[in-house]
Amino acid sequence: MAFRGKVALVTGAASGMGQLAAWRLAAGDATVVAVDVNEEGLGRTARRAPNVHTHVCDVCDHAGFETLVKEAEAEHGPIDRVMNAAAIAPAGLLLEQPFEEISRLIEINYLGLVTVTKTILPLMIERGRGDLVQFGSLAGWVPSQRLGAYSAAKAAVVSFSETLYHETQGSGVRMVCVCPPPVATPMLDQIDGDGTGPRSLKDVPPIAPEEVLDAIEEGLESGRFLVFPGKGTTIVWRVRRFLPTVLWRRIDAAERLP
Amino acid sequence: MTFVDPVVDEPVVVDGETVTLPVEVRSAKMAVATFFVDGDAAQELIGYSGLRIAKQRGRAMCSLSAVQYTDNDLGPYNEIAVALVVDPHDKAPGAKVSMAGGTVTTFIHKLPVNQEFTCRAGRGIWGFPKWVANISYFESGGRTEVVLVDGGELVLSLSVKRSPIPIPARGDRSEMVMSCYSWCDGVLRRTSWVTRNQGTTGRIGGAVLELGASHPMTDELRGLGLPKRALFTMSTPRMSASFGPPEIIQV
Repeated sequence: MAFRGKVALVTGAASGMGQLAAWRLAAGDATVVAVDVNEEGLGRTARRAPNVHTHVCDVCDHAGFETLVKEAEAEHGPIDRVMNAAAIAPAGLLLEQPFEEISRLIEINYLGLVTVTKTILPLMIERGRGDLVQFGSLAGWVPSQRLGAYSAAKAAVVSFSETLYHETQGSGVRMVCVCPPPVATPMLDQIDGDGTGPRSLKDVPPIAPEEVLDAIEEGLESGRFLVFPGKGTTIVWRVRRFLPTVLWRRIDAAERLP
Repeated sequence: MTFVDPVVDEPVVVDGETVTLPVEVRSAKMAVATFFVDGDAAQELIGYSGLRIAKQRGRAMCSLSAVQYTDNDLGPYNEIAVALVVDPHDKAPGAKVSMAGGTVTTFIHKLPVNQEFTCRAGRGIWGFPKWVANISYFESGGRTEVVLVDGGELVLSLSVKRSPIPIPARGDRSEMVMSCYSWCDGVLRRTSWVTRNQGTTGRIGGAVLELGASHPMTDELRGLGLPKRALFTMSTPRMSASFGPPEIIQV
């Protein structure tokens, strides 16, 4: 952890990487504003963690989130870090996936992150300090069959964040967009819990969520905006950029397997 | 010394909350610096416990371990342990302590933490010498920087450089059984725990230890001959552990 501030806001804090991030910040005596729609999960995050303050809020609820930030800053002081970890990952073939599911996915994974960012980043820029951590995904760079909607949302996150990074350079706010490969969190069950997930990912061992959090801190400290945690992740990213057909051949071949 | 029956493996109530044993740590990280210190001074320091320092040519091994507990039954918190390698209480003086066997017996002399709940649970269940202080655990530029401030006074700052050299765990590659003694309110206890480390690296030296001005704990460490060059350091980015019930040991 390389958090120098006092107050951090974490979305998606009821499970997975958001929860682990909240705990790490709390261990370091930070005041953590933990946001999620899952009240029960938030309860677990705050258990025996007196610095964790839970807020049930949908990141898509613009007005609700603005109020939350106002109240949180009034109570705890300026938010020094945001970790935009809230996301869902229902998988499936695009033509079979209901429109509502795709819409919800774009809403939470992309527009939710936009809501949080546009609410808090101006405050950070005004103060000339802060950390903004955007949870993208390697899937945002490397689309694969059965994960199209998720990939599209994460691609939007990456593009939005990369543009924002350049538009706000020199503002004093540290920014990272982390793009991990599959990570061993409950979200992985969402992707492939019922076996409908991308077959090309079946043999890819997930990395530990701790590795992702460590990579984020390294990125913030070294000033690297795009962060690819896990061995070989950067190579996959490069292959996608320079030899996209090679990657697609492998993905398609995996899908053709019986 | 003889054993009495180990504490029964049943839930313990702390602050009105039930803590089930073993206590599971699912995610933590750790940085450790080990020093050779003056054996006689170390023996005098832990004399109250009735235990013997396992001396190596008159020297004692003293470890400063900083741990950040993340996903943990006792909640998230930071901790710094001052531990000394001791002879098992039931071994004859001078019996060779095998450090290659995977079990090193240590005595936890000090164990400041930065959260209340773990402090009370640690003292109540295992008799760990915990108290609440300010502990920061910071990673930057390949180093783990730990600072302990108690009552507004700097006690120590420890910087451990991350090494590229992996330390393979013994046996089944990752699981190690550790055993430690602790002394609290006149009762000596021994607790065994299992740790599973991933990605541990280590090296000779690699630590910068700075001590504060006049805190009692600072004075104790200075009395051991610290600060000095570390014998070796280790960093573990991912650790899990299970802490079972303690055995009460009677003199």
